[in-house]
Amino acid sequence: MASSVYIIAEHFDGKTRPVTYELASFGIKLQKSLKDAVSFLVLGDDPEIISREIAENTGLDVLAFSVPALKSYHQEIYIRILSNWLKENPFSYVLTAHTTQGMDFAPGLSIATNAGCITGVEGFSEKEGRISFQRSLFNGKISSDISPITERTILSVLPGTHKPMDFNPRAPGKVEVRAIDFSPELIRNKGLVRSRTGSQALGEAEIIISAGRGIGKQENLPLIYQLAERFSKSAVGGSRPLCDLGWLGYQQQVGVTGLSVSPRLYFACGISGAIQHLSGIRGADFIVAVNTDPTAAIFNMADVCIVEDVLSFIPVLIEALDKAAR
Amino acid sequence: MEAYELFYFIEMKILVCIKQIFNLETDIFVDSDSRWVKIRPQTEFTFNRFDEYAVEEAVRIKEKFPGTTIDIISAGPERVITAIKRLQGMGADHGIHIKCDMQGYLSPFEIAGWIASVAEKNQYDLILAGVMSEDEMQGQVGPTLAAILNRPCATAVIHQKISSEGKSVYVEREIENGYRDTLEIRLPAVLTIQSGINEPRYPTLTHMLRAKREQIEVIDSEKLERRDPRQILMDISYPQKVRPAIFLDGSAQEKANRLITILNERNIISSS
Ligand SMILES: Cc1cc2nc3c(=O)[nH]c(=O)nc-3n(C[C@H](O)[C@H](O)[C@H](O)COP(=O)(O)OP(=O)(O)OC[C@H]3O[C@@H](n4cnc5c(N)ncnc54)[C@H](O)[C@@H]3O)c2cc1C
Repeated sequence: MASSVYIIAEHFDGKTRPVTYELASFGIKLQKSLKDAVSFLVLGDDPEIISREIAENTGLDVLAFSVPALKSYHQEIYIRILSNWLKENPFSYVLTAHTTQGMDFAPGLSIATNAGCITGVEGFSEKEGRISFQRSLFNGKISSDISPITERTILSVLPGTHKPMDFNPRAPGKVEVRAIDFSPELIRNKGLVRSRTGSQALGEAEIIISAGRGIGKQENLPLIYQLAERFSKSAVGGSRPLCDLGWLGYQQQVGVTGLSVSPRLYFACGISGAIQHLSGIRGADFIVAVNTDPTAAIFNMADVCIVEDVLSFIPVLIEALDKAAR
Repeated sequence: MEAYELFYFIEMKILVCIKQIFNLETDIFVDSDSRWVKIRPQTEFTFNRFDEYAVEEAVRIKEKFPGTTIDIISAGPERVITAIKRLQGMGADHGIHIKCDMQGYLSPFEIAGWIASVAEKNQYDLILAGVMSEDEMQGQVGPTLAAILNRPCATAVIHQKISSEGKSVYVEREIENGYRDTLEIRLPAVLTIQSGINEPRYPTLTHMLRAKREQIEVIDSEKLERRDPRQILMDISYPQKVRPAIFLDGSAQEKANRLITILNERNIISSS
């Protein structure tokens, strides 16, 4: 029997997440190398509307599992239903999003289906008939090619690495909805809670000066604020560790679990450029980075790279800005 | 009601999985045959920061439920003992070292498999790990281990509370867009811990001395059930730049002036 590539749609609060279409693009590109059929699997308590939307937009077939207990994502239900299906239906790849959902069930699903599991995938390449998947290592300083040596592999694809293509479907894909009753035994979902009431400051700022662990001490933070004061419509943001330390508020956190920002200028001070941070600044028009380490991954994303100690450089910059303004 | 919680009857057996990593702020080189990275001999080793949060969380559970024991486990060469002892100094009881001298990429499946063999024997109520390691960022050892052991699991945990009967744990997972997913999970379970869940303490001198004296249990990975890897590393390289960047040169003063010119040209600042 021919093998398939299955894409697991990610949705939240009744809406398809954009990453779902990125996965579709990735799947279709992968299909060119594999010739396997590509289709979607959608799980939810009422998955029909989402499934039709995906089938219309991509032209790919969708099999939806309608599970009353699935008010929102649930690891145990996902792994059980997906693995039951996958055991009966041969697959080469399952594509999930490298989000807190995909990262949560991909490894468990791989064990349940005797598959390999490669997470944080950014792309793939084919050499001598062998497909390997790119992922970053060491805070983005090194890129690696990982190749499956099993017939089946679960992949989690990093959001933002694949622009959704123009699908231009000739016709919408077929949609089939199956009702499944399954009550989880080990994990009980108690619902979603809002943990952060986002302040608009970062979202509205045209200039964001951001601090990372490279600033060393909390006492050095005023330097970042002083720099921000030199720009109009500016705000101070930062990397997650500074928010964890309580030096900055969580509403100032930039990145996957913080805010995605798109300012005219993003000025990164002492930030290494971990993928979780970078995914929050892809929309920035212009990026300036200051870091003592010339090989820091932030420099791969920046437009202007300055290899300096932030603590000594910022005072020099502030003085020069003041002089220029006079 | 809080007042009736019978904490003192609960004794948990906790395992915390930790990883030693090298300082990522140093130069990392692609080895000539591209099989793995090379670092300078003087590069310092440290521990994965996410694991420090996991150890702290374990120690807090122990403070709440006296009689709880905490084991710390790590797979790797001889040197990982330094990381085990350092984190043990925060208040863990025992260290377990799965000794493997293999160089290069080890898949999370193999590592989780080794830890699973040890964990199966020791019957832990709770296994904690960092949400991912800072160096390889795969985020797989925790959930893979859970699946091999057939235990429920939650990743990216930002809050946890063991129920008063010690049969389940209430967990909040941090997800995107400022939401938390809240769950009640049956024990025994595996949790991977997200940064910010607590403020990790510094090791105390007494604990450090005890950790220093304590004999770490060494298990040869060769003696554990071998699980064949399901993926291999083909190649490593330096990443490509996403944007055509310029590196400014000269003195700090010159760099600052050049930056101001660039920002002016882009109308980001306007000098009068
Ligand atoms: C599920 C998940 C979600 C996450 N979400 C986010 C998120 O939303 N946002 C986020 O930021 N992170 C997030 N992270 C964490 C992320 O992986 C990194 O750990 C974090 O971004 C690193 O922050 P940093 O760059 O400030 O620190 P580090 O990685 O420690 O980097 C510090 C940098 O400062 C440089 N430096 C040191 N001293 C100086 C000096 N004097 N002058 C100049 N430079 C100096 C160093 O060379 C280094 O590059 C998440 C992680 C996980 C697992």
